[in-house]
Amino acid sequence: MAQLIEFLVFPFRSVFSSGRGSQTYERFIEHAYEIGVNSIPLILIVGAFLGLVTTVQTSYQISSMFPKYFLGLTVGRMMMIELGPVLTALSITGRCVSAFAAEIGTMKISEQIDALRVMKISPENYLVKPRILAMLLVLPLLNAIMITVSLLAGAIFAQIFFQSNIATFFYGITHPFFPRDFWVSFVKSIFFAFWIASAGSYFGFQVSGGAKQVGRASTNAVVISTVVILILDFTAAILFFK
Amino acid sequence: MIRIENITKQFGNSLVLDNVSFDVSNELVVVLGPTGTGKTILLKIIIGLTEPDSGEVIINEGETIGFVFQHSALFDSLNVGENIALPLKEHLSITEKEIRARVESVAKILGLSVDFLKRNVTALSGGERKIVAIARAIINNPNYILYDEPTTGLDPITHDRICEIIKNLSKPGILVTHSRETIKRIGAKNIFLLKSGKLNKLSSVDSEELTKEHYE
Repeated sequence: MAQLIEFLVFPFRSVFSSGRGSQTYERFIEHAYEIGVNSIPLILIVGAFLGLVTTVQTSYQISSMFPKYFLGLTVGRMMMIELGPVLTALSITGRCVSAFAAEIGTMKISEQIDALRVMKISPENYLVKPRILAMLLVLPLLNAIMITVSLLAGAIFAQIFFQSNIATFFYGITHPFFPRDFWVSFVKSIFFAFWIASAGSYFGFQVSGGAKQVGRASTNAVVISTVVILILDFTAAILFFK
Repeated sequence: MIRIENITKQFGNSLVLDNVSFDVSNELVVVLGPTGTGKTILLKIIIGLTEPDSGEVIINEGETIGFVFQHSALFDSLNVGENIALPLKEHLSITEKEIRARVESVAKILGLSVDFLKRNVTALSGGERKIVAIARAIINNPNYILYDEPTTGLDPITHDRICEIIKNLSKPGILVTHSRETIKRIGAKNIFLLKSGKLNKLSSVDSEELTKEHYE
């Protein structure tokens, strides 16, 4: 219970930790580049395949019963509300959150975090705050890329294999268009970003010992982040769509 | 002045520091003892990284301490110059040009070239890492420096170079080591032996109280 409270308090303590802004800004840019730009290839691949699979499965379920624009409507909704934000967060958890835990954990056992404290530099301000802020900026943008790529892939695939056409597919996406679907997707991404960046950093700070413990922290960060994403996703579904 | 008063620290049943007291004022105090006797714990208590079970450390207001970690604790993501500049960037509102000038001046004192400052710390040898750690510890011109085993694991030439640097800096502070050779090279006079948690002052590094089990 004490550890759960510590985990919940940790990101807020880090975000409000004091320290020199210029250092935080420099690290923020570094992490935003690492999480954002370097994750784009992964997001493109996941997004494209997600769009293809969703289109195939949706077409299989509804093609004989509904007009063709329903394909775009259903795939668009699924990607926007559900699959886009969740799969983006899960992809970034695998790629970056485990790295956060491993990097901070290695810094802990090699006394680099102690060195920061000796230099009167807040480790939370130097290591955690820039990661959380970078994730808050970048994850919603990656989510937007993921949704766009998946819909494009789905639309092209539908035109080639299901005798639909791209215009019909996109007509389905936008008719009807509920702005709430768009901003809920955005809000979910922000909550996912905050907690997965925190989890990666938190488990890094918990490391003591050696390489085995660093590996364990990395695994814990991924497992807990995944569970947190699913819990938050379910909470959002209840709050916004029930 | 740093005043260490009645510091006691116990881990399980092992009493590592037993009512340890001493002062550091204007010279380098050496704490000698074999590996695992609590020398590093003593330094970590003084610098505030570890809490003692009892006793206190009193440091005069406004006085600062630099710390050289046993394994250097350099930041792999930064190059040599950035590692040295880190405390400056955090605590002083000075321009990049002034930071560079300060870093280069410390590098010069320690015999490091300007090109060396651009190197990645992961490519450095153990001795080079120690020198960079010393540079980082002195960049803010602290009143005292604490050295945790600064010569451990070094070849004889690098060992002598590090000792020469410490001697030339002539900063007051505390140096812990298990090497009698290091003390001789530095020429320290204020020497304590840490044994079974107790701190005993030695008359010299050649004191008869010292037996082979106390040093390397």
